[in-house]
Amino acid sequence: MKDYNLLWLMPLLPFLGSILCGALHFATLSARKKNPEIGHGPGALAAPVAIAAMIGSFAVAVTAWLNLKGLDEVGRAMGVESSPWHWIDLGPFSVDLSMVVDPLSAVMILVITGVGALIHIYSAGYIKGDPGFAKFFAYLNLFVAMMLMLVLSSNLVGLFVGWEGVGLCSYLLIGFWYDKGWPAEAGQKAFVVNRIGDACFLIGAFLLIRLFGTLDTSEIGAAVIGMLDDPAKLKDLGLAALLMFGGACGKSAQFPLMVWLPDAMAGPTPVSALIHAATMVTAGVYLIARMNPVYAACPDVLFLIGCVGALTAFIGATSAIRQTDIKKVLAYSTVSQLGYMFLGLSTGAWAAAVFHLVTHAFFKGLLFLGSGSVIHGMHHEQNMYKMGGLKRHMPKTFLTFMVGAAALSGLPLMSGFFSKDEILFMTYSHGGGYIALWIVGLISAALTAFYTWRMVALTFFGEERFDVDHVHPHESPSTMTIPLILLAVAAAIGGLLNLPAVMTGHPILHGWLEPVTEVGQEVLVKLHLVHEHASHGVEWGLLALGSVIALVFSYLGFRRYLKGPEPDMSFARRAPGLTGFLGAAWRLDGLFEVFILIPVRLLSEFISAIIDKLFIDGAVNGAASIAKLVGDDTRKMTTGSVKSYAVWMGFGAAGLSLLLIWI
Amino acid sequence: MDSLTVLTFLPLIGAILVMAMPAAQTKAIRLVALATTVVTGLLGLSIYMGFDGASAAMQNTCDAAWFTLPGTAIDVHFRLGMDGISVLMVALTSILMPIVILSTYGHIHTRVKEFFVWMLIMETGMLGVFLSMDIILFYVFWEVSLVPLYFLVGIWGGDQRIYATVKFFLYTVAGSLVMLVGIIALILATQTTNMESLMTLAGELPVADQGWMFFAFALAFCIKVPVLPFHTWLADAHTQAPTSGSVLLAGVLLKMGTYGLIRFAIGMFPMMALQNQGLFMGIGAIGIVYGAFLAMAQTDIKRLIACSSVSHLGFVVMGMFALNEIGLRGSILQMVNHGLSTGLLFLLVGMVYERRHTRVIAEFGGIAASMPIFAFFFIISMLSSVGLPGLNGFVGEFMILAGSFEASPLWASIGVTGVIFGAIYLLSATRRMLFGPLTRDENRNLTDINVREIGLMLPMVFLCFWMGVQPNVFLGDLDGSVDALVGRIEEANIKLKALEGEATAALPVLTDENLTEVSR
Repeated sequence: MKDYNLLWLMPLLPFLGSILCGALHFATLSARKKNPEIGHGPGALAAPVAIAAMIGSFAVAVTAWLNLKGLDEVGRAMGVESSPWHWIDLGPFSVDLSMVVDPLSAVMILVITGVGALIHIYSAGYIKGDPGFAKFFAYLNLFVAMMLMLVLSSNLVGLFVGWEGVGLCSYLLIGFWYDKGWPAEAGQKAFVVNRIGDACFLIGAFLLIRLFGTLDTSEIGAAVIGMLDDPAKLKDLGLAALLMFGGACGKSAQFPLMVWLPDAMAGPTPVSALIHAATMVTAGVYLIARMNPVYAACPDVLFLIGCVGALTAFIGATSAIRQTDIKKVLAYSTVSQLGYMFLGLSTGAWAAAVFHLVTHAFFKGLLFLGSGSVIHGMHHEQNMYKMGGLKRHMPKTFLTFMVGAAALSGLPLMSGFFSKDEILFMTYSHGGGYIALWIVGLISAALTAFYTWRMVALTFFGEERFDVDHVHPHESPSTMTIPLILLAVAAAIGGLLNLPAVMTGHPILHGWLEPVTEVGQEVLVKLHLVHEHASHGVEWGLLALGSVIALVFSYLGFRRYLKGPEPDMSFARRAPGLTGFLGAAWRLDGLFEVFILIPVRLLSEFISAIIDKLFIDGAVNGAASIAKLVGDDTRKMTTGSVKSYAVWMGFGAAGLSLLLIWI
Repeated sequence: MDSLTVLTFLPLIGAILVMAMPAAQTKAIRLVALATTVVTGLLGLSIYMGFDGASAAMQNTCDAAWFTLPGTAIDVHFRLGMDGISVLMVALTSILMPIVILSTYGHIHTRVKEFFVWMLIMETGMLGVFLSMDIILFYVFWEVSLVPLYFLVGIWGGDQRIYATVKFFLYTVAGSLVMLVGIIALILATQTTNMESLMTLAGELPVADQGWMFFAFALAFCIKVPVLPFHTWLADAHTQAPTSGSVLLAGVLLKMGTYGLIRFAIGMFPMMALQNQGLFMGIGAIGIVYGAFLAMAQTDIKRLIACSSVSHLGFVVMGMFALNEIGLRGSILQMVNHGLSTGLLFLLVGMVYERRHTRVIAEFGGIAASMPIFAFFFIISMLSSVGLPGLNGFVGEFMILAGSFEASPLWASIGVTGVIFGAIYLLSATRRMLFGPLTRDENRNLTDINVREIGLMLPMVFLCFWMGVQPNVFLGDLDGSVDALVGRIEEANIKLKALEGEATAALPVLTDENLTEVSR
């Protein structure tokens, strides 16, 4: 294992940046008290500080990657590691944190710091003029620090620190415009729903402690092989894997815990791009890829993950079709694409899932930033019905958005085409029950192409449906368009990272991740779960099928909405029930309300009013009043008359003697 | 004079000084009280710095014969000492007091002299409870620490203070009486009042005696903690107490209960603790969930935080009855954590009450806009209470849950749901108070917290972060004592297994003998 203490700098730089930006925010507040017209004041420095921290962090990430690249296969599997920090001494064992860059985390840190830096630059333009300018960068930098902590940690406790940390930043950033009320509610919803997953995560982690006596991910991975012959332990392992997946469902917005993500769009758009598309929501995918030996040993759990992933992909895609808010389309699309990643994981194609994670970070980050540019240019209008014809007004945004849309819909040769098709191919070649999942995935892919180009048509084509007298759409400043262009390039050619085996023979990312995924592969082999790969002919055939579906449905979606949203209205007239059902995302929110929120509220009222007040306090107060009653009555006996005391004494003596005789 | 005696009685000397001062001199009185607690705090810290965590022995002990129990040959001693189980509580008490005194500048304006006399007497009582190593002395300090609180709530409390005081009094007296019975029985059975000797002697008593003594102590301390179903005095006392009273109640006084559980119920009767482990872990786990649901229903922010204490102390109780190293360490650490985070929340609620004269959550909304610094501190304290990693609460909760899972996966899993419900009530209270539009004019012009208020919270906030990032600094203090305690629990476990083995083994042997007898 190679020592590299600079790795600590990666989370530390944005963390320090965050503290500095926070200080600038308070400085701005006090300056504003003296002079309300000051604008950003000292807070203006926050953008350069935060961006510098990001660039620094990115630079360290690149050096770490280069270091890792210089190692042989065995060395890469071990990774480049910093010295540990002894965090919690539990007694029997100690939780030590160290930062490790292995092939998997190398991919993650490059995406996080790379895409993250671009989004920071973009934000400097987007959030300009907001009174919370410095605060925004403080939160954003803190987020990156926590996200890096998540992917760099060598053990699950450290991962959980980042896991909760990004959840906090998500909460703070969704509720960034807290004075409006509903963003704060959305932030709270995100945090609480995530905590449901976190509780599962914790129980899963405790089970792993019980099984392995450690939470170090590589030690756990190595120990799984020795456990395969012990059915009792495998059962516990399966339970732990299932619980950890529960955690992943929360963070990565999978069924049924996806309800928080669409609401999270209440946050500023760069936040949606960075946190709710490119990085944080993929943490669940990362977790399972990281724990691949454990999951490989639990085929039933894997199949369940596949079902959840396919179902989520389908629910997300069908819901996206009926959204009118451009960000909501992208939100449901993200839910759906995350479903694909889990579908990929479920087939044991860890590298394919990570590949889709990377391309998705490019094209979905791009689409969100593009939508932000549209919203910025349209004076905070998000309803696509009130857009149209914007391609003339914002050409750069339009062109880059087209690239992102092409990648998302899986048009041939774009990045999303290769990554999605690899997942579908792996699902198909797995056979058995997975064939059903493959069909669901294929239908969702068709829907994806359809809603993507519906969005493009409604936003950029057709006639201008906004109030031309009052709204003057304009192209965004270059701080915003340059990140768009860079991301567009990545979204277009990102497929080169991992061209299919039939084309090149050696998918690059696949090979790069091998040191991490081979342990899981070994487990799969031992359990006889590795299937014969389908022939090259089938692979070519599936690629062709994917291309045809993408092209046809893209065309259909684009064509149908070229003239405006009228087809939606006529569909709503014909099928009002279905329209409402899909528009409300299968009414999952309602189910949550009925089955969780209302029972919790009722139970809490019941406990407070009935059990606590009536029974417990009632008993206490009752006891007190009886004591008072007895006291009041007996007080009357203290009459001061010696005669009456003598009588009572006589009674008492008689009673006592009777008692004694009786005993 | 040795250091612990000085530490314990310094506040009492301060109280006598204040008593001698003219009541009109409120400024001077405040200054004397503050100076006393600061000196006590510094002394406490220096003693804490000198503490050796690796050792299981009582440290800084002092011992002097006090009196002989009438009618017996039992010598009661004035005996003080501290070990890993009490050291953190001593440190917390000594640093919280100056903060609490400083906080009273905002809300104590009547009968100032009396107030500080009671406060200082209470500090002596609290320190004495944690430091006593003689069981009679312990009982004396226990009572000394309670009396001032009746007056603090009864005189300087809110509208319903009399009801709250009476309730608190009744519960406390009931608990004290039960404990007194246990103490007398224990002394008579073992012929000593030395708590160190009791830790071995109590375990050698007949099992049946151990059983009811264990329950006497457990009941007394459970009322004090309080655990379900004895918790209802807490919400009233907290809500009605002045801010300073609430902070001390949450920070220190409740910990006397959890400390007592570890020191007496578990420390002296480990076999009984093992036998009743499931019961107490269950009470803890249900308390976690129950307290959280209770908190959710509250409309008064102070009452909400009071109910959250029930939930947090459920964690502490569950963790200690895991009866393993991880659980006990986490439980002791969590006592400090709860004191800090809940103490901070009470301070903050007090600050906003001094400005708005209401604690009804619905009266607020959006005050993050008018009081941004207040909001900043409130959110940090809330997150510490929610158990966010990086802050102190996480370390304690994680250890408690990990330790409990080892002992009972079922109860631990029920306890884990506390992380969900905790987030619900704390986040929703935060949102309803701080976020949303500013709808009321009274909230629009609130002045943000001042330098004094920031200053008094800073040490606590600093500790929240420090304990979250470097918990080993504090966990190291527990090493020796918790190791020793766990060792005794393991011994008791072996003994218990042997006893149970005898009981089951005894049966067939007896039948055999009976059979031979019958055949004869």
